[in-house]
Amino acid sequence: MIPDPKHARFNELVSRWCAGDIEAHETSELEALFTEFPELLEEFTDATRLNSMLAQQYRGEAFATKLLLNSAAHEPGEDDPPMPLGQHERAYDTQRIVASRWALLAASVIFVAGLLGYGYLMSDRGAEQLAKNNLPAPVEIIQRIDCVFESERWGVMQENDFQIGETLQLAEGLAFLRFARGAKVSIEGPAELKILSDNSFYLNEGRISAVCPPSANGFEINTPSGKIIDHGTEFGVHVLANGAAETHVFDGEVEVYPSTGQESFRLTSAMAARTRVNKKYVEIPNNPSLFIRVPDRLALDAMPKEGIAALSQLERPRLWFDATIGVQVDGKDRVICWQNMGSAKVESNAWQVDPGRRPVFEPETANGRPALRFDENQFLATTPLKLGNEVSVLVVAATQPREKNDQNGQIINFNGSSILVLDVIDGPRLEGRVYAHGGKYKGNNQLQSPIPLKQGELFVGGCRYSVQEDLFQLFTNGELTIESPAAGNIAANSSRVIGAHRWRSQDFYRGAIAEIVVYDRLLSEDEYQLAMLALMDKYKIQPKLVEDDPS
Amino acid sequence: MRGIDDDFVMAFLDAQGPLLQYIQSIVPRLKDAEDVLQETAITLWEKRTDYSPDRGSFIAWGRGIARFKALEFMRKNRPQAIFSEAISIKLDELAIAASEDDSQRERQIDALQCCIERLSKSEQATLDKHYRQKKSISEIAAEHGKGLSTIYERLQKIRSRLSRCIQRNLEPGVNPL
Repeated sequence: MIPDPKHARFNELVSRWCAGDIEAHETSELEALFTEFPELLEEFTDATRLNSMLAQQYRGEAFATKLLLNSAAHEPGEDDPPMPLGQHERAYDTQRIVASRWALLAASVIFVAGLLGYGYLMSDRGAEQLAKNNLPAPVEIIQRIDCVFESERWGVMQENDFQIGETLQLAEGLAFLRFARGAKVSIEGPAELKILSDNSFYLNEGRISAVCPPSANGFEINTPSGKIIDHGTEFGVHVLANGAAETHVFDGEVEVYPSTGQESFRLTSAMAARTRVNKKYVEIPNNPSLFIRVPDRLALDAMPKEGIAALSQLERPRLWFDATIGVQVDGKDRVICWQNMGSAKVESNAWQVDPGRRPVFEPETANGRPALRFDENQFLATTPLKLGNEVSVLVVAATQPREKNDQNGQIINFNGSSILVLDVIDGPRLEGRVYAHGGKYKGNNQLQSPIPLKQGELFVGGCRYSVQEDLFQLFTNGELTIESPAAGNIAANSSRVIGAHRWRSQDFYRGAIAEIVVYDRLLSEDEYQLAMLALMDKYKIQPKLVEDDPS
Repeated sequence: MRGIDDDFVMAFLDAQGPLLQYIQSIVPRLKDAEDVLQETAITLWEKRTDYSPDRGSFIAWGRGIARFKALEFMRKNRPQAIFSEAISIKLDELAIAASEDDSQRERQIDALQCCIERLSKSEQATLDKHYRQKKSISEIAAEHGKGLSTIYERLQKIRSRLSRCIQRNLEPGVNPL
């Protein structure tokens, strides 16, 4: 029996040895313990075995895969001339061969890398050098949504262009990448990936989804436990901390090559599989809702034909969210993305990356039409969008009694230097406000509708705002309810927030929002009336607000 | 048709896990052990025509070279952590036995995942900091406001618990997954 103090000391010494921190006299001390208690030899062996297993488990990469990632075999060298166009196809063919015999060649790379100068290739310095080869960017970030890059935490600005060999570490949020061959990829933080070519990358950790047009056929995602090759499809990949990779195919077909050297296998629509480091792959249930998918630009013929869409007099609004179309939900019907059908050049979709802050999609809550349900803790934010000092806004919403003691529940916050806000205050009444940080209009400049809304009842509300015309008007259900002069400039190139204060921490809205329309000009009174009536007709809203004002 | 090179690569892929585990019984840090495995791989590749299954398993052949490379590395870089020859031989026998059965190794890895999940959150966090985030013991100790010895001991206790848990899971009739 080993006395407790000696066992405790043994534990400490073993741990020091495993961590590589042991001193010579401590090694001698450990030897003395082995001599005194030979059973500790077995315990030591167990400890080193566990140390190795844990290190590999948490590293999550098969050794061969790691070398493949760090080798030059897939990357142009510093002194390589630019690849002529004709050679690109040949290189692509070679990639396909590599794909089909990947397990074998991946390991061959180890030896090639070793012979070429292993130490250099394994180092980050080597990868950085490879990245500085002045090639046109094979990959670029096309959208950032509430995202924080690891480098930016240390004051290093994350550029949008990526070269082969560069690593992207996304700490939080969501980003979209476009590869030069056409593949688009969404990445959810935390994630880490390394660009291998203009049509491939290594995903060390995190969750992505990819859409591959025909030009990107053969798009490759390497993971610690295998490799996925696209055959014209949309799919998602989630690499877990232990290196296992789940592949879910939404549409089309992919081929998966497990790093164990097992035969490759194909996954088609609605199929999914998990490859594992050093283990056989397993099929798992397909679940696209686990992923944030790359939204397609909405086709014009897919848009609703009613409401403002039926008004030939009016152009397409700049921002236009209609819950009937372009709503991406997760597995609990919570809204990840609400696509902008408007004419904004930038794809200013509204997003919520945090599952706990997503509004819920309800298919029939707006008089038989779909709407998003906000419950005083949810909001969406658009990608930044430039709007001027003349706007016309319409919203279709229903408000519910609020439980929090905030001053108001904000439907949309324009989030500029002076902020236009449409909200609902207790009463409930629609309110339009311009909050100015300074100058002549410093503070809140608010218009409060004198006519109360009815809780739970759908209404069309909105405002016309113009600095040029010095006009700020508030409307509800076809009626101008109150007006005042404008309260200064509201122009901004910023993210608009739906359902909360621009700080995203207060003034949450409670109720449903079915549609939001923003024109970047002052509609004429007639045009605005037409738009309101079209929306009221679409949502079967009667002009009368409430029977009587109880106050 | 597969040639000797393909056969070699396939054999190496199968052997790399057990070889790395074996190397870590001599070279504790993963990064160092991987360097040694790389050196081993190059030597094995150069000598691949020498290998024949008649001379024993590929792992056994690889282990002989790995041991040589591992001791060479330790003598050069961490001589303070090398045991005397008598102890080394005993430990080597145990390490060989532990890395011999590859099918058992796969089950052990399965069981390890399962056993990690049964640890407390704080134990899981300690493992994560040390093995994934690569924090040194002194960094972890500073974060927790504890002494170095406490963290060293704590880590070893976690490893012991995991080892016992794995053994229990490998008993007949128990499916770790």
